[in-house]
Amino acid sequence: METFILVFKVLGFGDLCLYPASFEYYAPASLDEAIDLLNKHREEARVLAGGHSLIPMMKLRVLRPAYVIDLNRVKGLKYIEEKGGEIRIGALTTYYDVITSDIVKRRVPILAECASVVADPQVRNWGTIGGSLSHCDPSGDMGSSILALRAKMVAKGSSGERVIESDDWFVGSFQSALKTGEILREIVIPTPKPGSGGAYLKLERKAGDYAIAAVGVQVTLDGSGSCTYAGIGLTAVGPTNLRAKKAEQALVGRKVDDRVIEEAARAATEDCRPTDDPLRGSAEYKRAMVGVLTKRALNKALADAKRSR
Amino acid sequence: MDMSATSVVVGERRGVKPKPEKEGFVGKPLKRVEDLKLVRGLGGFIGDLKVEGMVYAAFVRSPHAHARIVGVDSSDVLRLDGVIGVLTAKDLGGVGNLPTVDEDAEKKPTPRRPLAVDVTRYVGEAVAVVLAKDRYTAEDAAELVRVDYEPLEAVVDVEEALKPGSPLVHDHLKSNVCYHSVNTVGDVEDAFAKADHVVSLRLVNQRLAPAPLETRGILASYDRGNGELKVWATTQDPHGLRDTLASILGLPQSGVRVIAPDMGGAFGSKISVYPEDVVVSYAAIRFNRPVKWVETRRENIVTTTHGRGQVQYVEAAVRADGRILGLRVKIISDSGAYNTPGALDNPTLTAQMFTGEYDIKAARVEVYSVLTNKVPQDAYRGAGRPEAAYLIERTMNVIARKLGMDPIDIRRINYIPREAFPYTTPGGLTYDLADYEANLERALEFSAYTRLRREQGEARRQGRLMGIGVATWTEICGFGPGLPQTAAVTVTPAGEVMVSIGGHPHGQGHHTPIAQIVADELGVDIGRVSVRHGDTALLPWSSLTAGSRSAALTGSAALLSARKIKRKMSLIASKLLDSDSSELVFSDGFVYSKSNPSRKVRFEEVADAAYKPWKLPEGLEPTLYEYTAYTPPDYVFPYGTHIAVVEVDRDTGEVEVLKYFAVDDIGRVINPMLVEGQVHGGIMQGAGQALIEEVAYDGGGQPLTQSFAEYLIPSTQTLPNIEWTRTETPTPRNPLGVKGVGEAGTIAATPTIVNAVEDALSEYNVVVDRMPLRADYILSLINNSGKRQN
Repeated sequence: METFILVFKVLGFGDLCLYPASFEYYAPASLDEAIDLLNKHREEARVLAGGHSLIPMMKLRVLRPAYVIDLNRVKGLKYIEEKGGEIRIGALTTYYDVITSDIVKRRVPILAECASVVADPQVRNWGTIGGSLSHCDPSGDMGSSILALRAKMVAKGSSGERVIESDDWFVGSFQSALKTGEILREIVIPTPKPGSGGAYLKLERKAGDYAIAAVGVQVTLDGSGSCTYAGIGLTAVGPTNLRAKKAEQALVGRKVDDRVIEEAARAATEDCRPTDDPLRGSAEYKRAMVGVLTKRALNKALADAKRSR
Repeated sequence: MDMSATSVVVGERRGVKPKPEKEGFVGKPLKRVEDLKLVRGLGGFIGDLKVEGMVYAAFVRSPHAHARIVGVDSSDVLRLDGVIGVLTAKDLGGVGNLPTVDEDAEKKPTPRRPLAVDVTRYVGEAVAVVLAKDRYTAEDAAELVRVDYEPLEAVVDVEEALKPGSPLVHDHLKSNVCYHSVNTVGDVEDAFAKADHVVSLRLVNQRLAPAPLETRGILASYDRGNGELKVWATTQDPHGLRDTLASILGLPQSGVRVIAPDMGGAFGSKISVYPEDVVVSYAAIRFNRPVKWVETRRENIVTTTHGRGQVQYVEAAVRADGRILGLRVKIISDSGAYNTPGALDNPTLTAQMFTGEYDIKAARVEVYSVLTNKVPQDAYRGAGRPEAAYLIERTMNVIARKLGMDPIDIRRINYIPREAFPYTTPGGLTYDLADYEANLERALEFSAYTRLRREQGEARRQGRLMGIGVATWTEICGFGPGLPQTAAVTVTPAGEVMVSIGGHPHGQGHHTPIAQIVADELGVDIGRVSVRHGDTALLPWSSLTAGSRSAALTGSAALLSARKIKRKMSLIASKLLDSDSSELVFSDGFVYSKSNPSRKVRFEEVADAAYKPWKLPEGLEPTLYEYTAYTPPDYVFPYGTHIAVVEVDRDTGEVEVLKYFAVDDIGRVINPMLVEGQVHGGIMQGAGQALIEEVAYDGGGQPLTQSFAEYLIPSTQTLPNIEWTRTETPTPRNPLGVKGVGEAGTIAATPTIVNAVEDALSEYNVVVDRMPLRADYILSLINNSGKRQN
């Protein structure tokens, strides 16, 4: 994974170890207790959700938290519900829960499509949407769908909760907008209007791999076929998941035909900031693929949008 | 599948009386008898083993591809609670070097210490070992060993390493070339002078990680009283490990016992003796504690030997009608940091097999083995033969395209004809027997080749990039006249048949076919036969399990031992039945008189009598134990035809394999189900090389593939269903008529798929010159062809 290559280059190679350094383990029963522990141990602590990013990095000893705070005994963080024009997803909701949720399938199918191409069934059974977003891996799939849907993140800390827009969430590689002592509690997605469609397309070396590039697209069409909403998120082609703003602008307010799709796809190639990867291809290749995937995802999303009117 | 035969095995194991098997077990698709244990979690792998007082080892490894070791300071380590000890190179004074080649005009040995002394030559090379009460403590302790390195310039690319002025991997050699040979047969210059076309190409077989499901591991325990070192190790060659360890550690061979437990694969990577084998064994003696080490997956991908790693330059002299008059080949093999015997086997095997199934009279092959700052190369499923098949089958494809011929026709024109066998090749081998044309015809019919070409035409009219690839393959199996294999058969007083076989199968399923062979020979139910292996105390000597040799050699040794048992039991039965031993028949668990079938005695009664001197014929020695070291007269050469259908996405460069057909001739088949399993797994691994697998290093020799997140192995997504059938041409070179199948699929699949992709790209007129066929590479071929239409 690109992540590890990057880490090896920065931190060096080590002893080919796959045994974590020693750490203390907490399993708090409430979110407040978890936040207290996090505030007590600050940078020395890491929060464990599904563990499928944290534990591999600990086994490689590229992360050595002295304290691990396991959220899995905290109740009430695993749900998907729709209320008042919003879909609310608890941070401990697994990919599998997302894939199989009727609400998701009906309202935001892009999210199910996206979760279904994350890694392998084992990861999808354990990995959580909150864990993925907090980890902020630029190759993480969920972030692009969240950007495409303009979701909001609800973070909880000792002084209460705050809401963070998806545009502000992705601060840097492996760096979310969470402050020390905060835990992501909930993801809030505005329910798309009728006439919406979404798609998440991932180009990968093999099933289960991190993306070479991936594109999440969410669109809404009005009765006349004009685009009233466009959200496009890009995976693995920048320091974080990126929003393809120029591509979105190429769509909104226009009747979307093949020419407009081409234009948006071209704009997306300008929105991305890929780097050369010895295993997945050059920046130039990834940039070109962002164009191909955007076009294909738009066609798919637009077809769904037309159907759902 | 023959369910009745299968139910015999299962029923017998459950104590149900089986029905007699008149027609025998050989040729039936019996389920693997060892699976009942394995699927219930009752196997015993190295990770499961524990010995009282056992401690754990962790290795300190070089983070540099090439560096001088300035100093090693392990003083902090012993302060850590739970640490037993630490060893560095200076503690191994009395320990010998790891195996290298013997020096001659062509070969240059490279001395290799079990722990690096002054210089480290690849990332991951072991520098020190720490022992502790558990593995976690051992890993913590390993971090406390401070090694000061002075980095040296590394050489990573094999062709760079060949250039004058390149950094030297071993200073005492004046270049990085550790083997060089030239073999010329026939008048090569004349062939090229007469050629209508000369086709030249450069091919690369990338380095691959063998990636067995189970990594390497060793547990060593020293009995001071008896002076015996007992080693449990993941090895394909228990006796080989015994003898090498004895030699390196200065122990008598009688003082080392090697036991190989159940193993989860090896693919050739567990033949060699590794530094860890030596260091862990030595540590067990030195600290008088049992010591265990099990490799991590990262260690496995980075420090276990890699396969392939070969650059090939090919020139073919071709007549206008497609007949190949001559070949010039240069093979540059990336040996890695040391010239190990295994590293040398690969290119030399390629140089023997590079003419494949074709009647090529004139050829020159030059081989360079070149040292680089990478982990040493060694055997990997096929070991040198996949590289050979790739070389010639890719060349055939390029020639066919150049001449505008169908890839089928170019092969037909150049095949060694049926009547030419036994046939001596430019590589110096004498092929046993083959009918390539018949096999090809079967494959065309099986795949409905004409229809496939029609479908391709239709797809192309729709603008789809569909391709059909063909490769025909042959390989050298049944090693060999210089390398016997052993088996012993014991019949206990209760009439149970115990077979001990040489080598150490590690997932292939040898128990079942060996039991099938022996049960048939002795006319008993297969449930009576048990098979053992993997303990040097079982047999006086044995050789390795590798190279698709077990059916031909181990099978023959077991058969011949069973025959000896049968001969002796005939003599005993003749006394019991008062009839002539030559007219006795072994069948259904009885020994019969052929002339008077009512005269019969149970197999177990004969067995019981064998242990009672007073029941034996005059002069016959009691007990039933027979041993055979079977040496074949020559090698055997299976062959086949594979056909793949692929589609390339012209926008992304992605390759999808749509269909895969294989028709192999592996001689007589003992167990068709096991054979088909081998073919499927083999084709998957060959497809892995073609499509996704690559060991990558950066320019400084840092490995970029350290886990399965970076190093991809095939999955069910890699290929569609494999359609397989076979032709049968038994070999005259062993009593069973079997050839070998373990590596067949791997050898064939790689060029088949690459040829198919090249065919798919034919409108762009490109030569596919590297693997794996990553999407970005395929798209670059299209974009750089000058024929891209947007």
